[in-house]
Amino acid sequence: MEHQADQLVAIQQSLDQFLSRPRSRTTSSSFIMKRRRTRSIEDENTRLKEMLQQSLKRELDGLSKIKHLQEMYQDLLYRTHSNGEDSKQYQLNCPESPTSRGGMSSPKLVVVQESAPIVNQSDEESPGNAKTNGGSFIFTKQLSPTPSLGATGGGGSATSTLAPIPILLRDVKQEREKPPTILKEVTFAPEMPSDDVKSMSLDQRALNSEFSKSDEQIQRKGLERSRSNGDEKINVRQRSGSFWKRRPRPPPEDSNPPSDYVDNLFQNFKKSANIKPDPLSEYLGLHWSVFCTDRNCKSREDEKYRDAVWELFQAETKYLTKQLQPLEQVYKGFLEELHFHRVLEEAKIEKIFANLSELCELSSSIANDLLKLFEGRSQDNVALPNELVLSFSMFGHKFNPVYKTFCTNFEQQRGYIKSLEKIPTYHDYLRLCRSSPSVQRSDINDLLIAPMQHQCHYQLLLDNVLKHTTDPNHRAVLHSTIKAFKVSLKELESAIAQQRCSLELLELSEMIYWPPVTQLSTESFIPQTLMDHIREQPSSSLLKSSNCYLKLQETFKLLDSRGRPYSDVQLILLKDLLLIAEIKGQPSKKTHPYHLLHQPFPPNCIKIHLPPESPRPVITLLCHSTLGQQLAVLSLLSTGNEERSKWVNQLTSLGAKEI
Amino acid sequence: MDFKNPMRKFKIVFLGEEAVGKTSIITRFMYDTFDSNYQATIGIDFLAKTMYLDDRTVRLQLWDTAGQERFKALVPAYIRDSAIAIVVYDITNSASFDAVDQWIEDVRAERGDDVVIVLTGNKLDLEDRVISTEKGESKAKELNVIFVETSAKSGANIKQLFKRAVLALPSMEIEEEEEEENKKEDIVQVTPVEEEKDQSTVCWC
Repeated sequence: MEHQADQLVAIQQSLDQFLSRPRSRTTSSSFIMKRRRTRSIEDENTRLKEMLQQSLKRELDGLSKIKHLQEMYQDLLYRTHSNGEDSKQYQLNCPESPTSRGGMSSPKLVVVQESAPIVNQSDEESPGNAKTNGGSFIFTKQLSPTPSLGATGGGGSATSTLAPIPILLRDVKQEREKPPTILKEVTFAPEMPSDDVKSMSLDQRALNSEFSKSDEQIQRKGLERSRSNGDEKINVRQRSGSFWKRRPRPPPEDSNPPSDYVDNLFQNFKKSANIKPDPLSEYLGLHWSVFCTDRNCKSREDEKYRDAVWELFQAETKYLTKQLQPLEQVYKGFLEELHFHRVLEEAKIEKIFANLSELCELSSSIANDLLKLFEGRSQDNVALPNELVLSFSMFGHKFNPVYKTFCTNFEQQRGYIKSLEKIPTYHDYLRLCRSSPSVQRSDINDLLIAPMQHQCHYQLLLDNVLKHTTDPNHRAVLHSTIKAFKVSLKELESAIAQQRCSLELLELSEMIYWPPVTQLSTESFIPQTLMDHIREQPSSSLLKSSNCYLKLQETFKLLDSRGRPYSDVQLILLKDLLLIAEIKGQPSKKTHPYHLLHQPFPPNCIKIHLPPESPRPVITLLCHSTLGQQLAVLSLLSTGNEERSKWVNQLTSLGAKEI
Repeated sequence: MDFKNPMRKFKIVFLGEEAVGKTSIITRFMYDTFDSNYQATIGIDFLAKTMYLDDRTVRLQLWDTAGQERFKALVPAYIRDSAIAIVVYDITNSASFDAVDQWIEDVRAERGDDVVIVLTGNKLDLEDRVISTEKGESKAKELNVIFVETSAKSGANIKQLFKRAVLALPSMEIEEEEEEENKKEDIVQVTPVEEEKDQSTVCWC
């Protein structure tokens, strides 16, 4: 008994440990571990049996634990046997690829009605693994009780039964060829075939009763039978599917589940997730005077000042409760939920939402600080300016990096977020999130842009506060705070502008073809040993350097010796380079449509000449080397006089000379 | 973006120099008020309003760029998804009128011709006008945009401004038909929003 109790404690600990760590091994469907032969097979069997019982009881305790059921089992096995010798092999096999089983048209379904076929199926899969020296354990578990959603056509299967969840625990005897013998088998087989997929909701009370039933069943039927029967077969059937419906996991290959399925997930999410308005939202729309017993202010100016501070608070609260929190709770929360069900895993949470939770925390602390300026204050010390500034300076140093991270990330991931729109499930996801009352129909992009917008509001709001502040000391402090805000905005702006430029340049560099020197001097003999060095122009990395950015880019017509336009060229003016490229083929990213005509020239090596007699907007460029040797002359026809003068101005501002 | 939306939704972005009255125009349109005494610094972040026009109903989402005038690199983020750009200048401030070209260029750079631009001369109620109607009109013609003169204070032409912008939206009928179809398929999400809509409804019949 004592020994058993110790084991239970050990199991408990390992369970707890596992529950507290991040889910990392969720995707591994099958892994094999070797162990030391430290215990007899019987010992192992009892141990595993107890582990199962223990974890079953725990899982029945509450919903939170259900989530980790699968991992728990996997981990349990892993943990208890990982300190092992090579004599025994364990296999944890979660068949998640029903296609290999054949006959199942719906990829999400793993329908196994009876326990016997499972054994057979597993046998088919596992003989290779059973062929190990020493004893071999096979722990087979199927946890994909996804209801068929054939009606929407995802899998196309008309089967509407819920897949039972068989948990097979078998000890494979040591014989190599002999098929493994079953020691224990625990099968959860929800009997009811539920056509009503919409009723997938989780009813806590029903669940509890089901749990107690199944618990009883385990004890009464299962264990007693296992004790009395020599074949040690435990067959536990769970009546209701609701327990298992909670965690439907489509196999990973089913990347595009039908809308109904996602709808159901959302319904469950809405019920289980704790989406409630922040307590701060109660203050929205109220007036600051609710905090004052005496409504009279010392002066009209004082009242205006309080109005201004109150607006600051209102703006912060509105932003927090109407924008940040819906984004965090609904959009991010539901995506997390979807990921848990292996849906829409292409949409990476960290790429879309970046440090959103940090923003929420920051905003919440600001709003609470501002509220403190009013709440519980007597008439004389409502919203004192020095306190106001203090509450802002407190987060001043935190503010900038947090917002900068978020805003630059949004700018950077814009293309990525846009690319997600190709996925039908993403549309389902957006539609469902939009339908949530707290979101108030806002699109994800609208909410993601909110921090940038809000950030710009601080200076306006503080300006307004400053306008109604009379005390010169307070004014000075406020003034410096506003200045700090503007500086931080300027920083953000330049960061974003730079990012945009580098994205542009990256795009551009993919379009430009830099002819290698082998093409430029075809007549020369090139030693083979040199070939590796000259295969590519080093200039292809020129555009990727951070300090050059795009100034102008336009198509011109190149004039031939008689002054007739004969081909289109692309002029690309960067901060320190002018690129002249011929346009070949369609400008699509894959090919390099811009073939450089000449080597790139720095603007200060260019002389501009505007032919005075020409009625057309012609610009002639004389390019020379740094030594002053003239290398090329190009006459280009611009689309208009305005464009031409724009180019002339830009070029001269970068160092080109007009002659 | 407007996938399966029961009603066609359009984003309107308000651009223009500081203190030309962007926020006031929005406040006037949304709440039909103008308080020269107490004017909220930030009227709305992005509030939506349903507009009923003759035979069609559209949902407008208004984006104020107040506070961002000096941070030009931040503005494209708003222009990006906008169907309508309202470029505002102050008829008593010639600098704000001169800046109009740059704003319109920014919009074109981001959206090309795929956008309705309305040039709006605001503060019609003020006496000391320096930009004449003709000047504004010719500028609008030159830049190929719609032109309206408004007063957020008196409310003059505010509704016209929005009406003209919405009517200029291309291929609205076709898209509306599609939306109708979506509406039938998609019953779930209509209910909670209807109530909210009613509060901000203006009927122009």
